Amino acid sequence: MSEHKRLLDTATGPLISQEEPTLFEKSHPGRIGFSLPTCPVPEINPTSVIAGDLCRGEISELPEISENEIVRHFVRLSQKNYCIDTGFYPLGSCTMKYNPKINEEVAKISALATVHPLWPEKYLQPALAIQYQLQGLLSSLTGLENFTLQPNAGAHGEFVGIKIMKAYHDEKEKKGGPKKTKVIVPDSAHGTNPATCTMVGYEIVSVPTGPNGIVEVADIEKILSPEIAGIMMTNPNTCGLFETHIHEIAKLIHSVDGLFYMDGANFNAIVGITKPADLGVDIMHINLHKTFSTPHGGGGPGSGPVGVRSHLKKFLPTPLVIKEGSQYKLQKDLPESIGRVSGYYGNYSIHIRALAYMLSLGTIPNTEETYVKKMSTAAVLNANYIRHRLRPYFKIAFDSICMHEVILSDEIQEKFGIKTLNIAKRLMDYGYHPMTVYFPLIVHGAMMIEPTESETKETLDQFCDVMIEIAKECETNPKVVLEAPTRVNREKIDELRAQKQPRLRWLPTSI
Amino acid sequence: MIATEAATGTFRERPVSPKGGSTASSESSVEASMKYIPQGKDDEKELLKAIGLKSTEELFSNIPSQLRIKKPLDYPRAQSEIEIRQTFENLSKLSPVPSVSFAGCGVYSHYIPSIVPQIQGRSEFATAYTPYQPEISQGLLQAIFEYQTLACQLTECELSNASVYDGATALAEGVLMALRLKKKSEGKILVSQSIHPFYQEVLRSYCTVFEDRIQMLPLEGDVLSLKALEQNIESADVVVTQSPNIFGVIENYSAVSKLVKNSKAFWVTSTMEPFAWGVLRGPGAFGAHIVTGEGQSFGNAAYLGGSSFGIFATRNEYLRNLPGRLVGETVDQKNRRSYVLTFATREQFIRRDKATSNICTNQNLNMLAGLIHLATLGKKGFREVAVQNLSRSEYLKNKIRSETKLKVSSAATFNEFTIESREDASRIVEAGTQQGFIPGVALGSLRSEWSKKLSIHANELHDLEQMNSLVRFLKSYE
Repeated sequence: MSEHKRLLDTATGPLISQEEPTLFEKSHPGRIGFSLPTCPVPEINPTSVIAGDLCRGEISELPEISENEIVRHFVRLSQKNYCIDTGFYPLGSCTMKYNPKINEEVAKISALATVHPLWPEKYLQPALAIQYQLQGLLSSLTGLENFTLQPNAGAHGEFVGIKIMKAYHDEKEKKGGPKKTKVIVPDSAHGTNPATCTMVGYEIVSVPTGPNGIVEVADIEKILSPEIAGIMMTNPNTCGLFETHIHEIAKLIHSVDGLFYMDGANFNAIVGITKPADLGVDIMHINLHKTFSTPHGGGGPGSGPVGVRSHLKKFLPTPLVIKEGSQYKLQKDLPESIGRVSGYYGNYSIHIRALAYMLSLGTIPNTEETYVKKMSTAAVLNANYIRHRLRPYFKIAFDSICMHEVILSDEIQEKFGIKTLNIAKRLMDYGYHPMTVYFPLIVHGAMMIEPTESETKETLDQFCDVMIEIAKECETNPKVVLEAPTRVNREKIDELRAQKQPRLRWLPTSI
Repeated sequence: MIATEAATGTFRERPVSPKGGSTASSESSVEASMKYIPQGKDDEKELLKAIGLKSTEELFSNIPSQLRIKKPLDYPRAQSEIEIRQTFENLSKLSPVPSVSFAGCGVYSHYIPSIVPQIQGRSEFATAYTPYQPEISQGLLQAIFEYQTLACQLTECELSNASVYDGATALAEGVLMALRLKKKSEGKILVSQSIHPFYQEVLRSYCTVFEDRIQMLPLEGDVLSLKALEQNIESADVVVTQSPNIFGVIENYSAVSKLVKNSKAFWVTSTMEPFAWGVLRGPGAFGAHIVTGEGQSFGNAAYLGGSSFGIFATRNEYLRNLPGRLVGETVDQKNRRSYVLTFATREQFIRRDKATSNICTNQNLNMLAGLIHLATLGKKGFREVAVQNLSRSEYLKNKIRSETKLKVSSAATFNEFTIESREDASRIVEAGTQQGFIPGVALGSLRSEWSKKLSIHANELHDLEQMNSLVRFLKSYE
């Protein structure tokens, strides 16, 4: 390799950031990136207090890098990512809305951040007050009386919710009630729903989505039986539609003493418009990292609070955050609780951010309207606008008024040999993060677009212009779509090789 | 009333009466947009017109009218940014801030280098989604790959995932994974009584289906009874241990290892304080099949115990049974080194009800803080933090032993240990808080039979004066 090519290939920096070695390759013996005070007490040799066969010395594999180089390393890595703060993120079902900066700042207030979970309660008041208030606001918006904030993510919330369902039935079964073994899950559900039911020990009964993209009452009637423990339904569903028959379905489920679990992943469409409790919902989880704007963090931390009707309160995880007089307390004496589901009290660092957001979107001065309703309305209007603009160019999977997201199919483009994945990758060339693809499974080559309320009309128009341009390329110049992406950090990545020759940690031998 | 109360009281007032008696169900009469919702009335009109609708009400025509909210929501007034800041400042003052805390027991307030929050808070990391699109997510993917590597190095395992929720759920997921690998068997799940009681509770919540197979292994002093393990291991499918344990005591993994190796059981370990691996061999070195841990100590503030991240490592042979996300190295079309989420066929979004776990979102940003912290420490710093923690804890332990009448356990510990008093340890904590500091965790709050035990943790942030003051304070107890 010529020196010229080597220098070009290894060039780094904000403008042409291409290759960044791993931490381990940047390591140089003797370099350090830390400073500690001199130990004020006699230094102990570990082997003098711990059995020798349990001890180890320095871990020779750990990297040795100076602080400046560590900073550059991570700043360069950061620059190789798409994020909300750089652009529109039309990921369906993920609610990639703007993450307000004030929420980050208040979450860093030292006296809020340093609270230790095992301090006496009188030292936990700020944290418990925040959790208590958040629970109250979630109750206001859902109509469900009691909340736990312990689940660390949506799927974790599902786990808690279905365990509560099971605890409810187990109690009845002990008193001679029927054995409940099955949970109804629509075929459009997120993968977490069936996975959760299995984890808790329920069988899945799948119910098909009707021709209009929603579950039909007759299809529920067909599979209704005394063994049904309940239903797990996402509403609005993953087809981006409101389950119009939800109330009747809830009645049917209740008629066999089943419980209605609503997956609140798509709550952003209906906040302030309808209350899940009024729809017949008994248990529900909410993704604070979707509807209530806490940052996705490249894959967490999230938070998945679970709300229940009052008769299910006794099953909520231990402990509950309650208020007695002016003191906030942890109620631990809950004999019928499903137990503890995470180490301490949930992702409190996320609860702070969500509360700040929810207080920002309160009742609008001099009106009885709330910004939360405005939020949902704007999100739904934006999605419908995209549906309207793209309709002439793409097959709309369910072409009626949608909620917060619209689902396209690749049926038209398939005629030109283009699939959904190609369209997604081509979007990158135009500077956008792709939409959610191939979900829901029931739509052929699904492309799920969720604009959220955060975007301006100009952004939506620009995105639609690009989508329309890609639709035209599919007809006139399919090659550029098939070869995409060619303008971003990487071209087609060999995913098969990652599985056939697994390299799941760095090793000194190069690939 | 179920609505929130502003703890501050300042911003609590209910909305004043509406103009012209409009109701929440009629078309929004709101003129202004707000800073997070750019869509103003003019935009709204334009968008509605484009799609051929008359009002935003029509957008919700699929929601039966009787199911829609008619009455104004019981919801507090919207706060401006200035008010939000004030609200949280006020909330933060609801409790005093202790002058110093010796609390540990699974959450450790180590020093967090300044570069950690600076980098972790960058938009490109904080506001990105899970890196499902590798071409535009190489930075996040490489960071996860580097974390997986470090986690392997620390635990002395071959394989690590991208993190799970926390230490307690990591342990529970570990046991579920072991049970999957032992699927035809009906043996016992032996769980050491020395494991943090909260972890035990989470394990039970996760394993209700297998509840009748769980058998607790008794303690011998402050460690797992090896005799009990030996007597029961033949009937076991899974052995679950924690080191350092809830008393801060280092379990004898050499001895456990010998017993496990002569059995058919899978060994799942937990570590609440991963800095212990700066002086202790990783559990993988003793042949543990699944190694789990709490990652909070690396780069994350206490935050009431969340958010943090769970460490999850194992052997290559169990790759297809691993829960959670995994990043692998590969190349792109131009043969450039690239990273990608891989072996997704284990996960819920592909396998649905047959998945290895229902986990989807994990704790990526917390893991990133851990990665940056570990990178700054590096080979020398990681060791030095561990040795300083051990040294300070030993200093404190010896001083309490020689200068007070309290009983100090003689078992080997890392950076926390327990002392026993004749009186309830919660009274010692209460007395400490009267002086504005927190002397430790009264273990009776975790299990009533431990009411006389006080757990004390010391790390690189505790200076000599703070440690000496604690000893002076403890002199009045016996």
